[in-house]
Amino acid sequence: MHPLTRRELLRRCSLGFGGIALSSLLSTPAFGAETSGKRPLKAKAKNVIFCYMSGGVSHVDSFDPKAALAKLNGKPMPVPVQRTVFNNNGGIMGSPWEVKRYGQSGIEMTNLFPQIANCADDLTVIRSMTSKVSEHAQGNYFFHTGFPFMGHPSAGAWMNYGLGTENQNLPGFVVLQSGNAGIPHGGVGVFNNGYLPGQHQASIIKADGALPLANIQPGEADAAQRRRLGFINEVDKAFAEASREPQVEAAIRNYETAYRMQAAVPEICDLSGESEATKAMYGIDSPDKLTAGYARQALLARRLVEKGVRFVELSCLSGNLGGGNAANPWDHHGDIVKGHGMMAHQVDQPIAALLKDLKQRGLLDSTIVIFSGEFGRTPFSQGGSGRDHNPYGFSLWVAGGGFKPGTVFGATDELGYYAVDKPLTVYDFWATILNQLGIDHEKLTYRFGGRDFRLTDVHGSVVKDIIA
Amino acid sequence: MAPSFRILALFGLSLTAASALAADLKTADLEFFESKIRPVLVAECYECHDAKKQKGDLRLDYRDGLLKGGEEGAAIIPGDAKKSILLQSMDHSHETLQMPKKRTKLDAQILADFAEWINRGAPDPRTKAPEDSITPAWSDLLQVRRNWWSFQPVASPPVPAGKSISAIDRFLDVKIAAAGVTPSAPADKATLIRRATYVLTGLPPSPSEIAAFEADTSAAAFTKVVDRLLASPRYGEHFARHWMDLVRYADTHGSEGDPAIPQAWRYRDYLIRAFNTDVPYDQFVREQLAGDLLKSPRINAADKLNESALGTGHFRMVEHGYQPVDTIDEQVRNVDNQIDVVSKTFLGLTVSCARCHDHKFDAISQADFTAFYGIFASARPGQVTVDSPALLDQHRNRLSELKQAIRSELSAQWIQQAKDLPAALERIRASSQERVRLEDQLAQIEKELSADDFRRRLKADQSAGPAPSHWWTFEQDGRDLVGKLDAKLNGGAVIKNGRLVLDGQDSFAQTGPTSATLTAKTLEAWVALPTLDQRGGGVITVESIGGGNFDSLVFAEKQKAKWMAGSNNGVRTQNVDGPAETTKPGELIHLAIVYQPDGRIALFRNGQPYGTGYAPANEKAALHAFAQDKSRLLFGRRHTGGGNSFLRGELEEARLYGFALTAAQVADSFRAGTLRGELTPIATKSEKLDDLRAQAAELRTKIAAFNATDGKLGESFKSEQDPTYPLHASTFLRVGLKPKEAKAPRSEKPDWTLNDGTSSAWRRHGNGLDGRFAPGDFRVETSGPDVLKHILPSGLHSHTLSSKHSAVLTSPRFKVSTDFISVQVMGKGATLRLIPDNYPISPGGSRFPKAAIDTDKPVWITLDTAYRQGSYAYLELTLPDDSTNPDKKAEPGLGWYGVRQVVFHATREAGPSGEAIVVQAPQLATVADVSVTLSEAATAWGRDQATEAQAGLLDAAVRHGMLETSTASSKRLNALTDEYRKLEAELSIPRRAPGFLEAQGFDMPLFVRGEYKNPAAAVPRRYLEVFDTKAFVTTGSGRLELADKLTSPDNPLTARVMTNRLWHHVFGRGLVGTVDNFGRLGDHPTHPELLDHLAQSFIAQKWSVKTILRELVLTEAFQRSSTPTASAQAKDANNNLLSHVRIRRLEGEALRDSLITFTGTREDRMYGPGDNAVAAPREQVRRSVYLTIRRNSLNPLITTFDGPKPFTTVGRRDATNVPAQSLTLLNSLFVIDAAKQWATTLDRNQPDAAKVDTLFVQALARKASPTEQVAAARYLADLKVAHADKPVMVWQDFAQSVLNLKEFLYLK
Repeated sequence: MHPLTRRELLRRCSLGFGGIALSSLLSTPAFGAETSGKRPLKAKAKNVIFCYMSGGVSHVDSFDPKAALAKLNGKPMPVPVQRTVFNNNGGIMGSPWEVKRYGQSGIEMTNLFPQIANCADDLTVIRSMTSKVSEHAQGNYFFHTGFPFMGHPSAGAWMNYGLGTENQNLPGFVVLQSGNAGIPHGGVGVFNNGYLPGQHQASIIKADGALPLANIQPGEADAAQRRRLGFINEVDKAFAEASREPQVEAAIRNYETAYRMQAAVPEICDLSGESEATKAMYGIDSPDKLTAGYARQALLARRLVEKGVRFVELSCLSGNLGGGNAANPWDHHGDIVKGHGMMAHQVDQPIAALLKDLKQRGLLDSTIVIFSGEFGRTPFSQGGSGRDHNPYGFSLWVAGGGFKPGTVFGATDELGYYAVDKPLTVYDFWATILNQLGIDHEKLTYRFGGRDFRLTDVHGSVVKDIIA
Repeated sequence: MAPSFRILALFGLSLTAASALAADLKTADLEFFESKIRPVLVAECYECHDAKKQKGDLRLDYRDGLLKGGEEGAAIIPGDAKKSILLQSMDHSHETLQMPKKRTKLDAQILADFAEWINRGAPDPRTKAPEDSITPAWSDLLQVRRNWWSFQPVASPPVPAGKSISAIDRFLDVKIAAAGVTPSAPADKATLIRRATYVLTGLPPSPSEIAAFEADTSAAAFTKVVDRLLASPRYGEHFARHWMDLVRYADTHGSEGDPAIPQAWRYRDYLIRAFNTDVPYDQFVREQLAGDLLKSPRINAADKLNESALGTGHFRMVEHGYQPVDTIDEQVRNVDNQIDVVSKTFLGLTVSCARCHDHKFDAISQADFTAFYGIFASARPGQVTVDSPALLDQHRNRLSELKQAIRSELSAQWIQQAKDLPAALERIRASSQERVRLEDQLAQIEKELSADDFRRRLKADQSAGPAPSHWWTFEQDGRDLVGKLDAKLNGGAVIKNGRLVLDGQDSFAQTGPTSATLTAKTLEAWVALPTLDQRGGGVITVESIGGGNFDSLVFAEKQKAKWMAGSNNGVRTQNVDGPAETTKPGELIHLAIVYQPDGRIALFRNGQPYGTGYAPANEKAALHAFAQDKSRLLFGRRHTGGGNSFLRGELEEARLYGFALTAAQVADSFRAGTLRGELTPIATKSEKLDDLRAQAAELRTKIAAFNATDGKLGESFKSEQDPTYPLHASTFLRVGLKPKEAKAPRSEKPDWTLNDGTSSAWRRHGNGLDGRFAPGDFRVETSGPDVLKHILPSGLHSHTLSSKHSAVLTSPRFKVSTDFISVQVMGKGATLRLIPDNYPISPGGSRFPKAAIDTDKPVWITLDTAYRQGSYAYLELTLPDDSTNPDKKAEPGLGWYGVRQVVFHATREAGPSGEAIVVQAPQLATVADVSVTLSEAATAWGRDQATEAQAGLLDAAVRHGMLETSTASSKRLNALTDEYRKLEAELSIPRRAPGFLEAQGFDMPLFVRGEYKNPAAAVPRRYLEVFDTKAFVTTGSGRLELADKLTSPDNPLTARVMTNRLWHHVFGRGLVGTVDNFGRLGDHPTHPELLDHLAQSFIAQKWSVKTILRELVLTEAFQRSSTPTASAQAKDANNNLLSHVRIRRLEGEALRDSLITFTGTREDRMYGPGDNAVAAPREQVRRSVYLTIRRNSLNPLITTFDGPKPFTTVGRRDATNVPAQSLTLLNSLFVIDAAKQWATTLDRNQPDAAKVDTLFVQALARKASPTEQVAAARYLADLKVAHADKPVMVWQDFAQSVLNLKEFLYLK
C-alpha cells in the first residue's frame, strides 16, 4: 500500500504542456531514473524543425547524384530489381538536373535545390538511409514512429515527452500547414501521441488561416470569458475541496493554461511584426503561391522555436502533379521533371532562408533542421518519365544541433539503388537525433500493454561519425 | 508447483562443482538451493550479474560473488536475511535498489525462500566463478515462471466473517480494518444514482429518475435502480463500447485510402445484443474465437440471425497496409496484432511479445506465439453469412423438388422436339430465304434513312451557329456525323431511343485518336440524369490516350451535385460554385464548357453561364494541348484510370468544337436544340423519306410475323452457308461435340481439375454452393419467357437454386511458384482473385491479380502471378456482397459463377487454350443423327445422368433455339415455374458480416529472431505450453480447440481477467490495475483472495456478466462517498483498500452522449450502419457507440477526451488532462451548439433560480447550493447586461458554463 508514486501521479493527472519539465521528468522511472547516479547525456540541441517531404524525394536527382545513370540511360538495370509498388519498371533514367560541387566542402549535388545547395557547408548529408516499407502510409508511420502502423507515438511526441516544453502557453509539438498542405497518408495518427499522455500529440497550426489551431478562438470577448471562468471556478473550487482529488485540481489549472494559449497562439502566428527583409528572404511574397505558402511555415517555425516549442514539423503544399496530391506531394510516378521541379521551387528558398535566419540569430547551434521524405525513388524509370518508390537507399540531410557541417555520410551503390556504405536505419537516425537532445534512446521508454516501448523499438545506435 | 529437483541436472555447467562440493553441504541444504534458489538466480539475476555483465560491479553466478558484493557492499550476510542487501532489494525495502529491475516484485514465496536460505547460512555449492554466461534454457525459465500467481488455479478462499451481507464487502472490510482505516460514509442518493447510471449505461440519470429514487425510501430502492439500469438497452450499448476498446473495433482498415471493412457494424450490434441478453461469457468467448464453427450456434429468433457466426468479426479489424509490396510481411503484422488482441483480451497475457524471441518475463515461448500464428493464419478473412440456418435453407427442399420436376417435364418435351426436329427444320428452311431477303432490304433502307436525315439536318443548321468539328447524336451508334471520330461502346453502354445510355458502373464510349491537336475548345452535350446521387462521372472528355491529361465536363466530383471542369489531378480545376443541379430524371439539360485561348474556363448550363469562370491559378496549369493522334474523346467517363469516374445517365447528343464559343453562341446553340428535336419536321417535308419510312415499317411487320412462327430457331437460321446454322459442322465444333486439340500441352503441376478429389478440398461458404460437380445442372430463370437459358457443364457452380444466395469459394492454400495461373470459369458479376498471404484487399493489376468474370460459357482466365511468387495464396471466387473488398456495389440476385479447372504455368504461352470443354463426341452426319443424339441426351438429362457431351449438346441446342424453353410450352411447366419463381421471390438476401472463414489448418514454422525469411521447424497448433503442450487434433484451424481451452473452467485466467475488467469498470481501477496484463510486468492483485472469489463465483453463476456487475454495484464499497476519511488519506493515499469511491473523469463517449441527452436531441434508435463521426453537430443524434470508426478520421471530441485509437487492446483508458480538452469545452462548435439547444429546453416562465436548478439537476444530478445560487445570480446579472440586445444568449452562455463544471466532467 505505498503512496501514489510519482509516475502514477503523472499518469493520472498529467498536466498541461508545461507540467512536465525537463528536470522533473528526468527523475521519473520512465526516463530510467533507476540507473541511479547516472546523469543524462549532455544536450547539444534543444529543438527540432522537421521539413518533411511527404511522398518521397528522388535522391538521385538531388543529394546523391549518380554519373552512371546518365551513362546507362535507357538501359535495363544490371542488378535484380525488387518488387515496386506500381510494377511498371522501365530502364535506367538519367537525372535531368545538373551536378555540381557546392560550398567549400564541395558536396556534390544537383541544382534541383540551388539555394539549399548553396548552404552546403551547413549540411550533413546522409546518403545511406533505408526504410522497411515502400508504401506511403506505412512509410510515413515508420519514419515518424518507428513502427509501420498507427498507435505509436510520433518522434515529436517522444521528444516532447522526454524534454517537455519551455513555454507553458504553447504546445510542445507543432505541425504546420498552409495553403492546400494536408496530412500525409495514414492520417493524423502520423502525428499522434500513441500511448504517451495526450499533451504530447501534435497541435496542427495553420500558418495562414484565420483560425490557426482548432478551438483556439473564443466565441466571446475576453471580458465575457473571464466572467465565465470566474463562475466556473467558484463552483469548481468547492468541488475540488470536497473531493480532495489531484485530478480535479489539475483539470482546474488546465483551464488557466488553455486561457493563456488563446492569446499566445494567435500572437505567435502573426507574422506582421517581421521585417520586410526577413519576409523577402523567406519568399512570403513570392509569385509562386506554393513558395509563399511554404515560406510562411518556415518563418513561423523559426518563431516557434524561438519561443521554446520543442518540435516543429512543416508540411509541403501540393501542386497536384503526377499523382502528387495533398497527402504525398512529392510522389511523382510520372513527369518527375515537372513535378519535382515545381516542388523544389516551393521549398528551396524558404528552407535556405530558414537555415540562414537561424544561423544569424545564433539558433542553429541549438536547433536541428531535418530534411527528409519517407523513402527515395528508383534509379530506373516508371512509365518513362517518373520514378517509383525506393526504400533500399535514399538521402536526407540535417543541419545545426551539433551535427558535423559540410559532410557526407554513407553511400548508395553506383546506381543509387541500395545503400551499401554504412547503411542507416530510421532507428539509427532517431537515436542520433535524441542523442543530440541529450537523451539516451534506449532509456526513453514508456510502458504500455506489458512492454516498454521506444521510438527506436529494440534497434538503433547513435551515429558517432556525423556528430561534432 | 514447486520446481523439481531435476533442475540440478539442467544447469550442466556447474554440475561437477556441485557434486564435488555436495559432500561439504548437507543434502537438505543442497536440495533447497538447487530447487528454490538457483533457478531464480538464473532466471532473474544472471542477465545483469554474471560473467559477462556485472551491473553495480556485482556477480551473482558464484558464491563469492554474493559474499564480495558490489558497489553497495556484500549482497548477503549469511545468517541475517534482514540485513542482506540482496533480500532488501528483492522485497523492495531497500532505499534505492528494487530488483529485479523494471519488473514487479517476485512472489512472496520466493522471497521467503531466499530469506530462509540466507538465514540457513546461504549454503551454496557454486565455488568457482564460471568463465562464461549461462544462458538459461527455455525449459528452465518456464519452470520458474510457471509459478507466477496468475497461472495458478483459481482458489476458493473462505469468505471472511463480517457484518456486511456482501461477501465482496467482507473481503474488502477485513483489509480496511487491518490497516486501521475508517471507510467513508455512504454517498448521498443523488451522487449514487448518477454514479450507477453512468457506470452501467454511460448516460446521466434523468431528472425524473433522480426524483423517483430520492422519493423511494424503501430498503430496496437502490436495488430497483440497479435492476432497471441492467435491464435497459442502454446498458448493452455501454458495455459493448467497453468491449470494442478491447478488440480495437474499427469500420475501416486505415492506412492510405482507409478502405471499409464491409458490414463491420454488424459485429458492434452483435456485442450490444450479447451484453443486453447477458450471453454467458464462456459462450461469448467461444463465439469470439470460433462462432462460425459451433455445432449448435446461438440463434436470434426475432432477427433470424446466427449470432454465434458474428463473433469472429474482430479478427478482421486489423489495420491493413495499402497495396503492400510484401504481403508476407503484412501478414506477420496482422496476425501478430490478432494474437496481441486475443491474448490480452481473454488471457491478460502479452503473447505478441514473444514474436521474435521467448518472452522476456513471462512463461510464454516463441513457440507459443507460432502455435497461435498457425491457428489464426489457417483461417481466412471473409464475409461470413450470418442468417440463421432455417432462413438460409428457406424453401430449399421445395425448390430442389421443383427443379427436378421442371427437369423431368422439359426432358419429356425435348425428347419429342428432338424427334420433330427434321420436320421443323424443313419448315424453317422453306421460309428462310424470304426472311433473309426482307431483313437485308430493311437494313438498306434504314441506312439510307439515317444518312439522309443527318445530311439535311446539318445543312439546316448552318444558321444556328458555327459548325462543330465533331458531332455525335447517338441515333443508332456512336458515329461522328461530321468528322471521323466514331465512338465505340464499352462495358454496359447501349444505344436506346437515340440516346447513349450509361449505367454508371463500367459503361462508356470512346473514340479513336483525334486527327488535329486541340487547345482552345468547347465541349457541349445534352444529358439526362436519372439520379443526382452520384459522384465524379464525366459527360464528355478529351484525354491524352492513357488518361494522363484530360479536360472533362464532370458531375459532382468535388462538390455535391455541382458541375465542374475536371482535369488531371485537378490542375485546371476550380470550384465554380454554380447552383446544385436540380434536374428531374429523364429531363434533358444542355451543358457546355468553353476553354478559351488565354486559358480561361467557363461553364454554361441551358445556355446561361454556370458559376464563376476562372483562369487556373497555377501558372503551370495553363491550357493543355491535346496532341493529334495521341488524344481521344470519352463519353460517360471522366478519364481512363482513376476510380469513381463513370456517369449514370443518358447522352442525347454531344459536340466538340475546336475553338472557343462565345457566350452568345452557346446560348444560340442551346436555343437551336438537338437534332432529335427537329428531325421530324424536316423529315416530314420529304416524300422520299416518307416513302422509305413506310417501307421500313412494313418490312418490320413481316419479319416479326416470321419470328412469331419460327421462334428462336428461325431467328438463328439464315442459310446453310451461314456458320450459325444449327446443324453446321462448325457449330458442333463450338459446342464441343467434335473436340479441337488443345493448342499447347499444359505445363506445370499441380493442375487441379475440380471433378476429382480436389473439389472437396475447395472450401465452400454460404448457402449458394452445393458442391456438386456433375454436368447438366441449370438455373431456373426467375423472370422472362424462358424457364432456363443454359445447361451447365461439369463444374463447381454457385447459385444453382437462387442467385440471392451467398457463396464464397476458395481453393486450397498453395505456394505461388509459377508466373501464371489459369482458371477455367464462367459467371456473371463475379470476381476471381488470388489472395496472397490472406491479404483481403485487392486493388487489382499485376500486383494483386484478379479478374472480373462475365461470360456465360466457360473460358480460361489467366492471372499474372509473377509478382506474388513465394507467397502462400489461395484462389477466391465471389460476388460483390461476399467480398472483403468489393469492386462495385452488389446487385443482389443477379450474379453467379462456376469453376472447372486450374492450371499453373511458367509462361503465358504455356497456358491452356482452345475449346474449354474437351470431350469425346459422336460423329453427326445427318439431321437424323442429330435428332437421335439429341433425344438420347434429353433422356439422360431428365434422369440427371447426362454426360459432358450430352450436356454440351443440350446447351448448344437451347442456345440455338433447337429445343423449346418457354415456360408457356406446357401447362405443367408453367405451373412448376410459377411456383418456383414465387418461392424464390420470397427468399431474402442473406446478411453478411466480417469474420473468419474456416479452412484446412497448417502449422507455421517458427521465425528465427522474428524474421520470416529465416524459418525453422513448424510448431503444431496448440495452446500455451505453460498449460498444455499437446498439439490440437484437428484438420481445421484449431480455433474451436483454442476456444475450448479458453473457456475451460480450469483456465486460471479467463474468469479472473473478465471479472477484473468488470471490477475496473465499476470501481475505476481493477483489483489488478493492469487489466490487460496479468504477467510479470503487470500489477499484483490488491486483493488476490477476492479476485479468486469473484472468478469462482462468475463460473458458478454460469458466467453471467450481469450477475457479477449487480453484485459489485450493490456492495457497500460502491455506495460509499468519494470523500476520503482522514485515516484513509493518511494510511491509504492510493485508495487501494477502497475505503472510499474513486473519482473518475467521464469517458469521451459519455461526455458526448450527455450533451445530446441534455439537448433532447438524442435518438435511441439502435443498430444498423454507423453515423458519420465528423458530421455537423446537429446531424449527430445517436449515441457515440453508433458513430462510424474510420481509422483516419476519428471523432475529434471523443479523441480529445482519450477515446482509444483502434490499434490494440485498451482495457484501461487514460484520463489525460490537456488544454485541448478545456479549449474544446470552451470554444468548440459542438459544445456551443449543444449549450444553445439545451438552453431552449428551459421553461421560460420559471424564475432564474429554478432554471439554474433544472440545468444543475440534469448535469450534476443535484440542485444548486445556496452559495452556488448566489454565484449564478451574479453571473446571470452580468450576462444580462452583456447580452441586453440578445437575451437568448444569456442562458446559452450559462448552460455552456455548466458543461464546463468539473463536477459534470467527473463522476464522484
